[in-house]
Amino acid sequence: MAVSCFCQEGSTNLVSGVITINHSLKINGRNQLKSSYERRLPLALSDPNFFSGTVVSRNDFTVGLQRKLSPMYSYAVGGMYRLSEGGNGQRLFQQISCVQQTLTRVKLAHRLRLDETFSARAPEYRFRYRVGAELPSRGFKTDPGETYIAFLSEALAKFQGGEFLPELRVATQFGYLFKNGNKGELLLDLRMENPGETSETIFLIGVGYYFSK
Amino acid sequence: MLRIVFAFQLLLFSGIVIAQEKIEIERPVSVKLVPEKAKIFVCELFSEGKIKWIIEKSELGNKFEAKVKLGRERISVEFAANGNFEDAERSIAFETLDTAISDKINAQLTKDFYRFRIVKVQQHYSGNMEQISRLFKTGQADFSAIHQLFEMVVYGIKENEIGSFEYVFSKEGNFEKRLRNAEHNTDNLLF
Repeated sequence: MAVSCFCQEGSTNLVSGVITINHSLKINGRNQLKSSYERRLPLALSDPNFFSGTVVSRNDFTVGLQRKLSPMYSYAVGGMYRLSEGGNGQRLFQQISCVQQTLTRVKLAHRLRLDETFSARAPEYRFRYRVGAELPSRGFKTDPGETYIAFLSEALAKFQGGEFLPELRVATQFGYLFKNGNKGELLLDLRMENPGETSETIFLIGVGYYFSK
Repeated sequence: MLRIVFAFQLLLFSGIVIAQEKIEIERPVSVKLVPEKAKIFVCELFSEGKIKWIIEKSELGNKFEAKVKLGRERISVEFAANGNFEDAERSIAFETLDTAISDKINAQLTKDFYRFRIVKVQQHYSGNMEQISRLFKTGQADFSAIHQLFEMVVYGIKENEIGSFEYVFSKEGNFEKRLRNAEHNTDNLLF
């Protein structure tokens, strides 16, 4: 059965709801101020045979500054403050990214990010690479009033207290592009910490909204 | 108050080229929906090419476009909604242009941006359909009956402005028009 593939002895499967709201403010033709709010919600277990638990509630507030290097490449720096039942924390991040419309229907994006998280525990340093692809439901690109689907895959290398922990994330976004250019999405996200070993897997189900000015 | 009015007038009449934004929606369309005369023209002219039909919707109305791949060459032919021939375009390399023309184009782009990259160049033909057909078939035509332009996609950077632009130049390399290609929200992929 597929369920058993995730459940090595000592592994845990957690489930969570998530709501994200993201805002982008154009400062000028090259610079944008990004801000986002993400809330993780504990979810009642529907299948206690599969899910061993849920997450603690937490709220993440992120602010970043993105600068375009070219129509395809940009870099960003920023920070995040976390309010959590499990303990508050702060994070700094730096990233470089690129997005291109391929000759077919796919919009392809790459993101390379470094982040440093500080909390009551030892500082955590992560090196992350994410690749994403967005496909319109019809036509060659997603036009206002149309839907799209996006697939994202991310590999993380985490270092904390002298320990190395890999993490793998895969996500699917079912989105709608509004006529004003804003986006609404249904998210399905799977995060596997230490895949293949005694792993912790988190299933995230949520909604996201992206708006800009 | 006078300073504000003066500053506003200065901004309004300054020579800053404010590019209009280009918004086009392109969608594949079944060949059954394409007007017959458009299909006949393209099939006769490019019998050996791979043809894909597109419907293009913009603020100027709907058009049918045949995208043809002939070996390594990419050609597109546009027709009005009723199937009347409008124009044909052929992708070319910027380096193949005459020096006199490319120098003029570079001069215009250097004036508009402090850094730029020409991403795509297309030679655009409109006018007499028979002469354009003869040009693609034989390489020769009565050029007095054909109106030629160069269309380019340019990535440009100027101080705090950066983006993708579509430029139109005459066959002599004189600047005619500039449109900014619309940008879409990609925060779900990048952030």
